[in-house]
Amino acid sequence: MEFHALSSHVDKEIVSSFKIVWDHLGRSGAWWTGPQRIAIAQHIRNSAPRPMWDKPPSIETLPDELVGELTIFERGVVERVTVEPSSIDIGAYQHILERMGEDKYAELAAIVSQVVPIDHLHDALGIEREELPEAVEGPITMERPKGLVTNIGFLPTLPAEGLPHVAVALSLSLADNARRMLLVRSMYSGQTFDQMIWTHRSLSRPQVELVAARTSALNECFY
Amino acid sequence: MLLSLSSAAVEVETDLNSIKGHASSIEGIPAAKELVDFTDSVHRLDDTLTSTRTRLTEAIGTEGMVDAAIISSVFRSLNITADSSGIRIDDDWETTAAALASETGAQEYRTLENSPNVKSIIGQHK
Repeated sequence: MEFHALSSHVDKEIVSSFKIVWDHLGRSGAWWTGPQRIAIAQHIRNSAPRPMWDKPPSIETLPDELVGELTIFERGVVERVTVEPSSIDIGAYQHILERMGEDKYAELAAIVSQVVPIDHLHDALGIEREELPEAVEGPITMERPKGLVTNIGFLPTLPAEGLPHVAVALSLSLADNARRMLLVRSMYSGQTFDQMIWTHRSLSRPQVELVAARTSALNECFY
Repeated sequence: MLLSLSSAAVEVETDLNSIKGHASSIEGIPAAKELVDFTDSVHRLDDTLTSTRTRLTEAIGTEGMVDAAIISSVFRSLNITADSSGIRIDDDWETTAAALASETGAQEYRTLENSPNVKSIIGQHK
């Protein structure tokens, strides 16, 4: 059974959301094939923060030479999103746009946003990570949502319509963004987000927000 | 922002310097120091993790420690989402974000560039 070790520590809703992510991870997405998505996931796992004296080369210098399923440039973008997302400024984004395109970038970032919290939770609890799923061959869907707007971030998104911007940030990659939000709901916001006093978790709301704010400070995420 | 609001809801005064990890300023939130230490260890995934996990568990129990691990993990994901996509602060939160930025040190983050209105408000109050 998937996530067997984790299931004795966290509630069923979280495990269910993890299983949904894992079930779709190896299947072709809108713009990346199943094998490419697994290669992205593997490279997420290979990416770790580097010491100050070993900074990664600028992505502008990385070649389009293919290594396995991904180019060296694509692997560089995976690493950057995984360990240094706060360094992605408009210049870096425009370079990514020229060489990868916004659709593939949105899906790549959405994959990182799904795999990282699952692995991170295992690591935080000292549990062995779940094996990545098998890649499944099949055509990409080339899905691109309609009604996109461009006033929320670098990427086009669905309109926020009362939702926080972070909820729609990667909605250009519709299906992966939806799965990402399943994780957010099961792990954080649930049904009672607007209430300032929580009693349904082990931590109080102020304790939750302390951990959340400290994590964001460590990642230098202004949002 | 939610740290301020939720603390106020339970009538706890919280020094927002706590998110910068200054232990002496974390009062009013039970096990705040243990939570921050554990969060830092989880971020680094270094050899302090076992001991900070143990201390947090002793302070608030296993379920509390697991809850903290869950929050740290999902917020790493949210940070990646926000920064990789360059989203700006929501309109309703701009003024509050600008006000809190100096208390938390967040005005030094490069990612403030993604929220030009907030940056402008901060600049007006310098």
